[in-house]
Parts: sequence; structure tokens; C-alpha cells
Amino acid sequence: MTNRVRVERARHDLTQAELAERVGVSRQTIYALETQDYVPSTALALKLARVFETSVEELFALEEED
Amino acid sequence: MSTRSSYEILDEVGRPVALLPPSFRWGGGAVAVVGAGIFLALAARGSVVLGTFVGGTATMVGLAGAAFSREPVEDELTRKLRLESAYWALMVAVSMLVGANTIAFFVDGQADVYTGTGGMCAVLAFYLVRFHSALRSLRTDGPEA
Repeated sequence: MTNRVRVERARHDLTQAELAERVGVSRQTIYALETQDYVPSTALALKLARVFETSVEELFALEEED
Repeated sequence: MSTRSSYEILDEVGRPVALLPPSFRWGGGAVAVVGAGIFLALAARGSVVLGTFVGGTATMVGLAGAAFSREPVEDELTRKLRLESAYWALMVAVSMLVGANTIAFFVDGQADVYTGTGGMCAVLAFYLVRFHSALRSLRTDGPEA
């Protein structure tokens, strides 16, 4: 699974710490998401989509092997 | 977030996450180090049983305090890492115990049945009961839509 969290965060001019605060997780979790090392829960995916004012499908995408 | 008590932290579906306060990490670590020192000091004097009881118990309690203390920000990634770490630690501990038992049996003709092995069997049994009862409740709860 891939995600566009880093791109959207840059587009909204947010730091990792600011985004983490807004969705209620640690900065390490945002880092793990951006490096594609962690697939978030549905609740966190929805919160991220809400912050970025987009849909979960726009933010996350399945890859060939998924 | 870091000022909330352990029982105010909820998981994704609203269940409380029971963990000790963050200060237990360093406090528990200190107790564990002191316990190990007591064990070594008493064992060096020949009091292995007393050293194991006092020092070993203190070390175990200290490590448990450190292991079950919460992080400043406890979130879903932390819980995933806790679960993976617990599974990894269990597998390593079982492997080490099997190796130690094998060596003890073939070299010394002894087997550590009642302490380490018994404790590990209990941990594995509790894990199996908890895991399968949780799995079973997920399979049987609620009518099928």
C-alpha cells in the first residue's frame, strides 16, 4: 500500500509534529506512514483524510501485490 | 496527551489501554539494575537461593515495570510494536529455554522442569487461552447479516 501523506502534508504546509498533534498520534507514527513502513488503522486514515480535506482513496492506494 | 492517566487512553474502538505511568520505565529499570546487583553480590557469597529470591524477584518486578509503562504518546503504532515485540520476545525465550534444557539434560543429566520451563509453559498456555477465546468470541458474536 502506498500513500500521499508526505505530499499532502507539504501542500498544507504542516510539520510532522503539527500533523501528529491534529490526528492524535506521535510524530514517529507520521514518519513511519510517510516512509511507507506502516499502514494505519481505518480511524487514522479517516482522520488524515479529514485534515487534508480529501478522501481516503485519494490518500491511500493499493499496489499490485496487495 | 502525556498528562493523561493510563486508563484515559483508549484504543481505536474505545477500550481502555491499561499501562503504568511513564515514570515506571526509569524507576523499573533502576530497580532491575539494583536487583541484578543484589543477586550478583549474594551469589558471590554462595547464597544463590537468597540471591535469586531477593535480587531475581526485584529484577523481574523492575523489568515488568519498565516493560508495561506507557510511552509519552501511546498510539496505534506503539501498540503494534508492543505486540510484535512481545511475540518476538516469547519466541526467543522459548528457543533459549529449549536450548538450555537440552544442554542441561545431555551434559549434566538435569532438567529445569519446575522453574523456567514451568513458567514458560504457563505463559504459553495463558497466551493460547486468551488468543483463542478472543478469536472464538469474534467468530460467534452477533447474528450474521
